[in-house]
Amino acid sequence: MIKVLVVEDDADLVETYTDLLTAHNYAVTSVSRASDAIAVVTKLLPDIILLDMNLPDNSGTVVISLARQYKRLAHTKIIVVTGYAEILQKRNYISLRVDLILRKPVQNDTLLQKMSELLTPAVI
Amino acid sequence: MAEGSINTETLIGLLRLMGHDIRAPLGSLISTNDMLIAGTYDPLTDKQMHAAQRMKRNSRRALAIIDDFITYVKAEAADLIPYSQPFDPRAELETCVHQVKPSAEEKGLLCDLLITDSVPQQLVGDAALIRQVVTALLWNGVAFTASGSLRVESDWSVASGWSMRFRDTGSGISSEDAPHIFEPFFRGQERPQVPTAGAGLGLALSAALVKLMRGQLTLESTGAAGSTFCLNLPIPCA
Repeated sequence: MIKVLVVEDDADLVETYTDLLTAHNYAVTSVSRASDAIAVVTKLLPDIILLDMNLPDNSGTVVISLARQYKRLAHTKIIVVTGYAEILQKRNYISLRVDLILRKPVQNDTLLQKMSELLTPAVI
Repeated sequence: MAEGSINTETLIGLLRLMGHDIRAPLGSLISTNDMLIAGTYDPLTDKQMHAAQRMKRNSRRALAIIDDFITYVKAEAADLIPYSQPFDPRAELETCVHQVKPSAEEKGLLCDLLITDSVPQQLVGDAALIRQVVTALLWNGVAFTASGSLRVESDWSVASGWSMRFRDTGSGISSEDAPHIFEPFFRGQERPQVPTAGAGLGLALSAALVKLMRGQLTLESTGAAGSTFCLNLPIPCA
């Protein structure tokens, strides 16, 4: 089963992601703080991290930094889901070292499709 | 905060925060409702499905109103900077028409897109802002046209850039309303006939974005046979 770590401090949104992703056979673990994400991510070794940037104790960038330094998370895809339109500018993909940036609210179909695309190896 | 002390910069900052904070609850509302409709929890009765579809329509409408309002304030305050990148004008126009076509066809309206050969394969401008303007003008046509057609005509020249005419066969805009149609939240004598219509910001927002791109948006003509809006963007070919 594909493992997803949801890092989001809005409890209703966490429940919504969980309902959606479990209905599509993803195994979901959720945390609401950056420090909890850091504690969990190296044990869980998720396939995907769904990450809010504006967390109560820190910015989501600390989670990205850790994930990108840790070799066993080399396969992990990081999707930033943000309410800030400014983060969507493409150059941030490079500076943030994430795989995708989506703006809240994300359509269910869009999220599922993008996750599926990220998990499917590119055919050259 | 002292009375009267709020300045534009503070207001935009507050709007940005509001725009951010409201997206989580709206996201949860929209996604949960979509799951209800998709039967993720349990199948809905016809009556429940009808109600859920109404919630879907209106939650998206609420989001559009918030987005339009924030973009309008930022555009008016010149807090938005248009990007200049090459884009395919045909693909952009087709995408916009494709977006409104189902609603137009539901009303029995024909949707025509005519792009002359003068339009280059690639233009240089802010495709996202242009898409927003074109879509708003198309929605306006769908909302205020009871029968007949919507037609978009597009051409380009070195001298005047990219021009688009949006013709509808609606009942026209009254002479009392015409001077006010680009004002935010203006509600004229006519009422939109589709529930997807926004808050009355479409034309005001379009005008603000066009101004930002140093273009022009005008009501070229209006009468019992319909209205024509003219959009001109002084953008070069790639």
